[in-house]
Amino acid sequence: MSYQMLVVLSFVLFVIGMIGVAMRRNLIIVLVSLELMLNAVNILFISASRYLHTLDGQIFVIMVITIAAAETAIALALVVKVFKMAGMVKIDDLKKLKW
Amino acid sequence: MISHVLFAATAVLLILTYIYAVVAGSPVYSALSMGAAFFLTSFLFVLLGAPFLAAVQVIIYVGAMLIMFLFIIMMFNLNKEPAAPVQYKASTVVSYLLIMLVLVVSFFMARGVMKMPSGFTVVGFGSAENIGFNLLRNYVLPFELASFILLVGVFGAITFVKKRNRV
Repeated sequence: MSYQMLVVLSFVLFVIGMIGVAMRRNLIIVLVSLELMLNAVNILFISASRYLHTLDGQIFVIMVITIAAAETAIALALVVKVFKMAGMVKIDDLKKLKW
Repeated sequence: MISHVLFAATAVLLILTYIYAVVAGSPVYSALSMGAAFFLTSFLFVLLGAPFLAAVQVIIYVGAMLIMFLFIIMMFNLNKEPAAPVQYKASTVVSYLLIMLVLVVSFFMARGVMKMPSGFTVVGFGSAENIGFNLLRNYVLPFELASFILLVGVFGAITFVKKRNRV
C-alpha cells in the first residue's frame, strides 16, 4: 500500500460522509455522517504519521477524538431538545429552536 | 504481501459500511453501520502501526459514542422516517466532488508513488508509552485544553436539556 492509496481512500470516505451531510434530512443520520467525516480525517492523520514516521499525527488524532466526543454530546442534547419541541427530528425543525 | 491483501479488504469493507451508513433508511441501521466502520478503522490503525489509537478508537467511538446514539434513538423512538422528502442539492454535491477530484489528481501528478515503510514499524512506535511521553512533554497545552473542552461539553449538554425557567 502506498501513501497515495491511503489518501485516496480517506478522500473517498470523506466525500461519502459529506454527501450524507448535504443530502439527508434526518438529524441523526446527519450526525452519523459528521462522525464518519471526522473518522476519515483520522485515517489520513494516521497514515501521514506512519509515512513521515513521527508521532504528531497520532497526537492530533487523540485531540480530534476528544473534540468529536464533546461535539456528539452537545449535538445529541440538541436532538433531545428538538424532539421535545417538534416531536420529530428533521433538519428543518432546528428553526424552531430560535429564541 | 499479506498486508496489501488485508488493506484492500479493509478498504472495500470501509467504503461499503460508509455508503450503507449514509443511505440507510432507519437511523438504527445507520448507527450500527457506523459502529462497523469504526471497528474496521481500528483494524486499519493496527495495520498502520498505531495500536494504542486502535484501542482508543474502539473504546471511545464504539463504547461511548455509538451507545449514546443508540440510547437517544431508542429513548425517543426516532425510528420513524421524517415525512419531508429528501431534498437533493445535486449541484452542491457535484461541485464538492469535483474539488475533491482535482485535489486528489493533483496529488497524484505532483509526486511519484510514495511507498509506505514496509512491514511493521520499530518496536513501540505507536505504543501508549511513546504517545504518553509525547503528549505530556511536547503537547501539554493542547492536552489541558482538551480536558477543558470536555468540561464545557458536559455543562453545555446539561444546560441544553434543562427546563427553560430554571436556567
